[in-house]
Amino acid sequence: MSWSIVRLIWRLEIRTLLRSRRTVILSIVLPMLLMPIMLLASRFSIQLQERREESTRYEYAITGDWADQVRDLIDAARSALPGDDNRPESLEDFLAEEVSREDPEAAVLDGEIHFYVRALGSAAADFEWAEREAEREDEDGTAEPGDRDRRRFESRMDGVPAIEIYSPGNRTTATAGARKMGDLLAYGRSRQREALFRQSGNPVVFRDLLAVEEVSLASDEQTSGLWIGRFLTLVLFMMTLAGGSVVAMDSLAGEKERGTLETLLTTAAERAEIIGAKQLVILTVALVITLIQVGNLLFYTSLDVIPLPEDFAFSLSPAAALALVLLFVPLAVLTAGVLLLLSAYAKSYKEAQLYFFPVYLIGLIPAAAGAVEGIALRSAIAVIPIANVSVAAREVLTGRIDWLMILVGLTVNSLLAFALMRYSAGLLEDEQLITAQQTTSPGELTGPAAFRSQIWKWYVVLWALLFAAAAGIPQLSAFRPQLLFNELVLFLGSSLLIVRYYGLDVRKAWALRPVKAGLWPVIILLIAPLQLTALLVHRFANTIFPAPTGYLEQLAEEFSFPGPTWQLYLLIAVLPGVCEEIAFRGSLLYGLRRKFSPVALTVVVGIVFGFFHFSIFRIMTAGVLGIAITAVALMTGSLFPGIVIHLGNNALAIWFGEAGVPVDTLDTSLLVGAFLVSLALMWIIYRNRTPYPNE
Amino acid sequence: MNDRLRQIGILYVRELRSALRERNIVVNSILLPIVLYPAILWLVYSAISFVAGQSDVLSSRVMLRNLPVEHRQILLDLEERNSVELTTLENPEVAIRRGELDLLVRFEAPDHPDDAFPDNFAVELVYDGSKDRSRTARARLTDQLDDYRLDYLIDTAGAIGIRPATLQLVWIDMRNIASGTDMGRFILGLLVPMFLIIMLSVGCIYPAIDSTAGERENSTWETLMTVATDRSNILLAKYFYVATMSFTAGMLNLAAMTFSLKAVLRPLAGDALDDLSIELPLGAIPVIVLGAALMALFIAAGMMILASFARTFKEGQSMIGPFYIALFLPVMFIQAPDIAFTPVLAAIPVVNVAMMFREAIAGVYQWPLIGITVAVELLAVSLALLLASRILQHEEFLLGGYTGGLGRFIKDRFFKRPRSRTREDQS
Amino acid sequence: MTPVQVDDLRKTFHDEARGEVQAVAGISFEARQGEIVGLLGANGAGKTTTLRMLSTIIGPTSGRATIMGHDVVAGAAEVRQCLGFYSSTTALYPRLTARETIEFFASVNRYPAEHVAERVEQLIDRFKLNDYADARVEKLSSGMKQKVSIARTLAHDPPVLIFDEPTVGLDVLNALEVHAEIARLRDEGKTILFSTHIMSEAEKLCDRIAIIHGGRLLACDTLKGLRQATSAHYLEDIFVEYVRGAGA
Repeated sequence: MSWSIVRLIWRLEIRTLLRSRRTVILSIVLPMLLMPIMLLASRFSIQLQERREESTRYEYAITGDWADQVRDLIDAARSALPGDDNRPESLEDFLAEEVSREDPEAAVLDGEIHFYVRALGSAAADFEWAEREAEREDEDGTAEPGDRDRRRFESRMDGVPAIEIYSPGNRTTATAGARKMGDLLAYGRSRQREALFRQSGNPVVFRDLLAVEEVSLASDEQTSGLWIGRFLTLVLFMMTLAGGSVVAMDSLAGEKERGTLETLLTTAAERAEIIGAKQLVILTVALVITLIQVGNLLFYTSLDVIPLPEDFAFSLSPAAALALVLLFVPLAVLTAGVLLLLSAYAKSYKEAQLYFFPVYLIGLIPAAAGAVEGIALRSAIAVIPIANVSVAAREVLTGRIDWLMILVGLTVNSLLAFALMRYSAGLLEDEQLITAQQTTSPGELTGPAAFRSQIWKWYVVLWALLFAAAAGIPQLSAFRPQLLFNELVLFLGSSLLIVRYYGLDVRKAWALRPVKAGLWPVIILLIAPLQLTALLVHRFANTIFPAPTGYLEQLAEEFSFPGPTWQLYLLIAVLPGVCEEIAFRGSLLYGLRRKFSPVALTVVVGIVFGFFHFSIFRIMTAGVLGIAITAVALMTGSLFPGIVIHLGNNALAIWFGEAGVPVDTLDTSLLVGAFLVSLALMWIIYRNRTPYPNE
Repeated sequence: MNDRLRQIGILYVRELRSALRERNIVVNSILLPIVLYPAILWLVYSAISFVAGQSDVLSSRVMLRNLPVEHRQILLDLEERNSVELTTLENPEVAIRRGELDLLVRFEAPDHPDDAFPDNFAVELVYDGSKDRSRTARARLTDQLDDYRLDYLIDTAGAIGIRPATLQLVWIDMRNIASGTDMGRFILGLLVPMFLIIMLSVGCIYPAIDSTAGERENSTWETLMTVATDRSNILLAKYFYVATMSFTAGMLNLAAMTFSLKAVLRPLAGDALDDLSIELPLGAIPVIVLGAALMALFIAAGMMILASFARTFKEGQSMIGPFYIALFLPVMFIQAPDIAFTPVLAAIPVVNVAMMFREAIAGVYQWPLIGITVAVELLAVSLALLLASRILQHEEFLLGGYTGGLGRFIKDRFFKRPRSRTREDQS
Repeated sequence: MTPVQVDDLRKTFHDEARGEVQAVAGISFEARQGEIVGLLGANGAGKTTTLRMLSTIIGPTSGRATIMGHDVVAGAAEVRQCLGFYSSTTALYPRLTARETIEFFASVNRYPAEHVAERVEQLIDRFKLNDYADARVEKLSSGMKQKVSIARTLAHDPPVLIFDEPTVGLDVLNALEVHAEIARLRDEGKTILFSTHIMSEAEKLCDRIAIIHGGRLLACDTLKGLRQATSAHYLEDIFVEYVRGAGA
């Protein structure tokens, strides 16, 4: 690779970019103006609400047989406020006025008054609480045991009067007022409590008994560092991605459209040099725009348009600065690499832009990893690109520089960036991509060819529907309807639709072919070892992605439903065994078989199958099972073994649960043994294979 | 007239059909809303469960110093917890700073010891606020110590003759009388107006540029101008097509978002959302459809006027950019939750539709204000169309000879009439 | 050494609808120094694919080709260095000036740095671009663009030149200028590959004519040789005869 050529192409690109005045304006001037306006707008909204809450004279009603006592409590609290240094901050500006209303609830709902207070004396409260409990019992069929006996303040004790403040949660200002009223009443109560203690002749302030105080050892710099560190990567990533996109979309995709790429490819510059130069151009522009934006941001911070938290202090040691550079430079290179890849893949400027938006949105998620509490750098996160920088940058800014993990992150991101560049350079070899030729449009294709070219659309939409339906349709939230819908409507339905829509031959599309009779015993023998292999994978996965304790309980809960056992086997074993196999080892395998080599095909189908299990704690296990079943389907050329294995596996899992097999405590060596047995059985199938026909 | 409508109809169907065959438009307006929301949802959901798993496994390393015998129960309780690991170190403060210890619980006798409460101690939780693990440890211990303290207070009060119920004094609770439906509408009311306006615009950008600048780029513009029908028919058909695409994209996105919103909120808010019902009220749908249609017509007109000055797709995009931003910036100023819909707001285009959406979602219909909104929007659309018809009178523009944007055109044609005449005469 | 040597070159594309498509099904020919070899064929005959393989834009599926002794696969960079490729689809950077364009292509093709300025001036003079040398390409007329385009093809003074349908979309006068330029380049000793589907162009310019149809080379000879082989006089008739023969 010759640097002089790279520099030459780099200069050419930068020069043509600068000559496009509109691009410069749109990408630099507009965001510079936009940021303050957006900041002002959000500040305006927040301040407006704050002012409203401070200036509103709240109107409320009091009902109940204890109303007078509440009024006294309010008055006492109000009169104590001015002289008390410990008064709650929220009560500084609290203007409120009692009004009388016949039906206070209706008045609140109609917006006539802001909230109302319902006060019940001991007897009335006891009565009401007993009623509520009876109601709960009716609903759940269970009473909360010992609720009333618990010596806690978390629930109302017998004989204690009750004050309840009712507010409309859908009106922010009114709810804020109600909350202030709650604070006021609590303040009054705590004063009365102190008085109670004083009456019994004790000088100790109630508040001070076994008082718990929190002391943070973190310096202001570290606390501020944490605050910045949570969002630094996200902000920088957004800026570099948006900044780089200005030139990236036009870079390869635009050149293809204009035909200059072909000109460039006939010159003595090598593909690597062209890609290298383009990558550098995107990097340069991204960095320049990011710097301008950061400067802009600092400017508005100094103007106080962006408020900083109190005690803000920021300092950066040389080592920390170096660590940040080591983190962000590979990230910027990676970002540029992603953009360049989009551009290399797209045939035109328009198309490149189309891909940009989803990539942008999805890229923001790992970049936000640092904002999430509880992610430690020394975990699986260190090998997740972008996310590792996000977490590491936060650590560095709070004064902890873990050089080893920074090195890991640097290596991962650099390798990925390099791989992307290699891949982009490879795309320049693809004649259909470089010359911007229109290949046969899918509309002109028919039958299997049309299905092959549109297969991803089907499965992506299917995936989205599967996910959205479970989340969005309340009728499907129960286990049984959801399962029936997923299996029959989505998996089986889509496969039937595909067959009809493209006019496919069902026997070919679903691989409905007989299997050598001699293989059946091997296939059936494979069920149990595969199940144990899946357990092994699950254990392994759990060390990398430990599942939260709540998750496993939730899963167990989902799988338990009242009903006869045969229904359980039918719904969880037979139905998925048939429907999912038709969808994955049938249609999907059929549609993808020409796009990949057999090994890649096995892995791809397996992974897709894994992703349809949604939860990250199940993807790996399901993926491995999917790979195994796909391999069997490819080696027997038939769907049937898959159905038997899938069905058998699920049935076995149910049986383990029913029979109380201690799956969690099974010895790992047993599982490893089962894995070896699976391999051996697969090898037997391989030796007696009937390859999947490529027709 | 009938014939004219038929002509527009034919042209409109042709535009729509070729749009549906264009991969970019299909992906952008139809596939993206269906797939993108679930995909993002899934990523967020996975990230949350990943983090939950990570922090569940991470135990908190805690050291107790000077634990008084009276409060030994704290130690016993902690020993039972899996998530807490008790250690003893020489120099715990330094260890906390180094990240080797997460929390130090320090017990100290109070400054003024009192004979009546010999077991009263001051408790300090020493942690590092810049470390997540340390903060988690603090949160875990705070909960536990609060529980313990309550028990202690009740016991202590009991010892001096104060019954627990007397100590509790009065039970204070906050209750929300808004129903799950109301809360769902409240959340939708905050999100939908801005979102819908952005989506209507996004859905409009591509067709608007493609049907104007794009046609110039592909040189099909001239072909179209030679068709045996009135030019205004062609442009009206294009206009309705762009508005249709904008409207469709807006509605699809809205449906996809409301559909998946609850699933996004669930892992964030937990059980609190069980009663929440995120559904658009049926009564609001006609108002939303009306508002969205008006906005689509307005946005389509604005964008097509701007884009028709461009000669390439890219140029069209940069011409539309500022208009797109100008559309949603004003809406950002009304993001505060309790802003009231007033006649003044009803007179501001775009903002009025956003307010109308919000009120309709909350189930409030102020018909006079809705009337003003519709009238103002119709006026805005008519003005845009009027401007378009004025622009179209210029042959030079129609045939693609004009180079420059809308700003220069208005300056040239409407303000410097004499000078531009002479230029025309010369050429 | 033969400047251009092509041996059994093949290219297979993979197409969703039609499966494997042989765009070039074994083509062999050679071009000597100072000679114009014309590739004559209908649209889709495989001319452009052949020339793109020779210019290393795409790689051959099998077969071998050398340009100035460099293999198009193993020595792709060297091949491009001694090759000027011109076609109607190789566009210019619109926002560069004519001078910058020529300068860029000379440098990027590794023309000795100390001579680049001299070469640029030489080409500007040769194509009479002096008055427009510093105007951006996007502002030039199509005829001027044409000249700049040829100038950039010659920027690094390559011994072998490929013109892929150079006159597509040009008016008669511009086309004639291109013809004149190509003839002049031959006289300067360049080896020229020239593809066209216009019979008169081939008749007028080419020293030897290769008739390509359906990815195969049906004949490659001088016009005279072709006339003798077919006993037809006009190239059009010769072409039709070969194509019919191949179809039967």
